[in-house]
Amino acid sequence: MSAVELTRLQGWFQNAVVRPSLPFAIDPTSLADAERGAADAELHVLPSRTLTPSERVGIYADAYLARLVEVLTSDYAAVSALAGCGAFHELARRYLAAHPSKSFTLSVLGRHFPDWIAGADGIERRELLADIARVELAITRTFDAPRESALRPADMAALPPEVLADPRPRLIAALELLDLRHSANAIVRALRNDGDLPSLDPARTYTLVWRKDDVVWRRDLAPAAFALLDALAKRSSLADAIAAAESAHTGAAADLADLVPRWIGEWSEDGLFAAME
Amino acid sequence: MRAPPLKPRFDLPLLGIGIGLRTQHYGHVLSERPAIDWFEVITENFLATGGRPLRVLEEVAAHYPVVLHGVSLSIGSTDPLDRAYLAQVAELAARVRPQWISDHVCWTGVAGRNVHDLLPIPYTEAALRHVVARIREVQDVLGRPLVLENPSSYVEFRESTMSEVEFIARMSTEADCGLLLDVNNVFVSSRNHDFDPYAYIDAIPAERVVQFHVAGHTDKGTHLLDTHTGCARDEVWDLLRHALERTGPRAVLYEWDEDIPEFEVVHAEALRAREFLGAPKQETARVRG
Repeated sequence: MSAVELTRLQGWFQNAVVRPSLPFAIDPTSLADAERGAADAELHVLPSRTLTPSERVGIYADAYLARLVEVLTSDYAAVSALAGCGAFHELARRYLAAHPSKSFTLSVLGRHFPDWIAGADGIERRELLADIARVELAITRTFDAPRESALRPADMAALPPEVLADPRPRLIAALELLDLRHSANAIVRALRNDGDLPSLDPARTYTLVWRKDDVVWRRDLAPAAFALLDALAKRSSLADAIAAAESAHTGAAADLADLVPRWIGEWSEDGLFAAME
Repeated sequence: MRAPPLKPRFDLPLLGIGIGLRTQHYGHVLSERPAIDWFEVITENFLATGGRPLRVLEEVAAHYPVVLHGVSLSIGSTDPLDRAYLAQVAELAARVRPQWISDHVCWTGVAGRNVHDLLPIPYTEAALRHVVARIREVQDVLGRPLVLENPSSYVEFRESTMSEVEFIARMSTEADCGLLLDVNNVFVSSRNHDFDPYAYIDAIPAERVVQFHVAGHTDKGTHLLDTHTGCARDEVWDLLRHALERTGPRAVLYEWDEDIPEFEVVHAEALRAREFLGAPKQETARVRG
């Protein structure tokens, strides 16, 4: 066997292992495909006392799909709960065919799942599932985000005057802001904790997901608070971020003047600020 | 009669008896600091993350010897070695100072894909040359000997021109690497491929064995599946006893990855190895498949 033949053999084996996850392209129930697969397996694999070559290859194929669907089910527990086990398995199978793993780590296997759901055909309650998936992806990403020490409230109080003149807060890396079309955060909480399910009807919500002390936290925000944090996440100065909050605020301007310092104080306690530049 | 102790090829510490560190036991290990010799961790669980797992590993590594056990090196793949992956492994090793770094004699994907399984290599001269060259390359990058584990497998390729154990023995000698001998894998494969597990162990270069794995498996009727669940069968412990008689004392690690019970249950199962580590030789009751 040459190096080229080794490459070909590995390519054949890999295709045989992942093939059942391919939708439509090859129908595993098709007799012709099954016969062709069995013939290929006969060519390369010895039978055992109890299994044919294709049955032996099938052990790897079964394990492949089961393992990766299990990972997606774990990462997207709320999507799975809402879609139902069978429907989620089919979603996962189609997703894996569209986005096969190319990384050594399974932690990024589902990183395209929300966008894939949003753009895929034939999915019941697609927009709702996509929103729920966005919340669950944010949880995973925030959990794995790089470590960074946050400014404590005492650090904030001790900032030099030149910084406070025109502060530009930098947010921690382990933070995501979600602009959603459903009450997805509340739905995720209910589905993951067996709580009462809130309305599944469309409703614009804004959710903050962040990590503090190795624990991932989530909180729904008022539109103005979201606008402020979103502007800071895009590296605006605090003054520009407050201007963005004013545009999003629907109440009286005086209220916002009270709210902004309170939000900043809360976010400081929550460890959202990595630096004040 | 016990053979005289072999001089190990590598000057690595005798770690004793450990178990795989699993998330279910993080809290117990951190709060109780149980009396256990060492932990093995799955390397990939601590790469590309800055969250709790890494903090836990750093704390565990501060109090116990740890070994990094990878599943994604893909030493047998015909794809180029993943340099970014290797760099991250090296970075993690610098952070937690493992006693050694291990992975598997397998491949995990080609054409840029990863199927996240330990796929079998056809045991041919071309594959041997390929794997040996890659082991040397990895050892150069990591600056230490690589330790590779024999896989459990469910297929035998028609293209193979040598047995698995011949491949692994030649591989370890020609690449000058260490071996992690998984006696459960030997048992599982011996049943699936109908070979003598004792002959397999006798053909392993004993001086290159750095560590042993023991685990449970599942009998599917038509084949055995390496599930790392439950207690190891007596036949598997007998294989460990036989292997230790050849190698002398080595690190032993118990793997339990499905339906993981409380820490003490896993540790108690691992401690069955005490009977064979340094114990006077007893006649092994060989149970063959």
